[in-house]
Amino acid sequence: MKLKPFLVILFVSVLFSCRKEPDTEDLKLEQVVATDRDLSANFSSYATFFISDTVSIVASASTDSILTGPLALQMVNAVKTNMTNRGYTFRPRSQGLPDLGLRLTVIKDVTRTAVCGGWWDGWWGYYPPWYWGCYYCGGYYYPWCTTYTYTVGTSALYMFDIKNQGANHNVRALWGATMFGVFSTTNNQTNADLTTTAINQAFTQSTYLKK
Amino acid sequence: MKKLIILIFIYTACAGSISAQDWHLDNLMTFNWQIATPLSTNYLKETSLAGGNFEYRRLIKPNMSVGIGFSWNSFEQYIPPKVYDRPDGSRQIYTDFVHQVYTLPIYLNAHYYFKGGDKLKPYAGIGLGAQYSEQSAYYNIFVTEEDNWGFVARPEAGLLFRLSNYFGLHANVGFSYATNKNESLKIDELKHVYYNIGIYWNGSY
Repeated sequence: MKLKPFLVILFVSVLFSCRKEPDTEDLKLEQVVATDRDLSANFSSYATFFISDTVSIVASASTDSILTGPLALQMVNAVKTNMTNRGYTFRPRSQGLPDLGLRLTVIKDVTRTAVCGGWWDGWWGYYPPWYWGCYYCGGYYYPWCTTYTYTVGTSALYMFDIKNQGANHNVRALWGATMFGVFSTTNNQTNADLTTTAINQAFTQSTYLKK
Repeated sequence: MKKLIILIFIYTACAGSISAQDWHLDNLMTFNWQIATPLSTNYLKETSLAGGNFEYRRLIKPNMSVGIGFSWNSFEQYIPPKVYDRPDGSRQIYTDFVHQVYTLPIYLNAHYYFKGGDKLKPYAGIGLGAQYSEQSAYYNIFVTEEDNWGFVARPEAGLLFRLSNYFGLHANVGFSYATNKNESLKIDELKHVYYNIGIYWNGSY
């Protein structure tokens, strides 16, 4: 192969791979909040609501199904406060059926992403891998890999129409909020704070929710 | 401001050299740092400093060249958190984004060189070809990404400043229009103004 065409191909190949990776750290500070409503619902026709003090949880450990205690209360109270501020009244279970029922579920899922580089990617292959304490990683120019572990959290808050349920107890979902993003792997208080902020945002962007 | 400085530089350099003695061009290779400002797109507005350009020009007449060129630009902009509402009011989504567009035009070029002076040679030209582009919207740890190809046209005007018979400085300003489309990110075309600052070699390659 002649040198000039080879250099051109090499140059174009480098260009295709030289895209700058953006800094996305700040994007993880808040969860993405998506809300969805039933356009036929008249939210001012409902007066009372109920939400349990426990939160459903789906996580990698099969024993985790219900979250109780202060972290659950923090998130549930955020829902109660927002509903009260919109003119709805909390009705305890002992006082009969409410007009609206709300349920909060948190899904905590661990995701691993492996990113591998080659000799061209940062170290130029100059240092052997064992220099960095990885004797069995391979030989000279062996690509290094970094494994990022993300815990992805998704919270779902749904509002159901109890007032107009049919004789067969079918209930209609009137409103839903899905909140998702990165969770802390170790600090559940951080995760509860993220979810609480997201719950508040879900109500903020749902201005039609009012008595 | 950067645009103004470059335009003043080109204008002053041209005006000062009209009466000077002409000089001879062989074939040219130019390497440039490229600054680019996106135009008429709501997706991105921030000027990019992450770009470059390489061109080879073969003289087919003493004042005319044809050749090939490559450029690349990495545009990026942080979009603060806001609520995006569906027109019928049924759905809303709240998030912040990092918007990114990477462009890689590959084109054939033609340039006409005006009568310059002993040190300076102004020129005008156009590049026509294809543009590869990637458009990405990062949110939280997620990304929506698409890549595509489009037709690209790049009219430009510039200046060569001779330091020796074989080497000199190069600057130009141009407009890039490409037909790359991205339906999901509502991009109908990619347009930007670019400014190249670099060096050239003049010789019989």
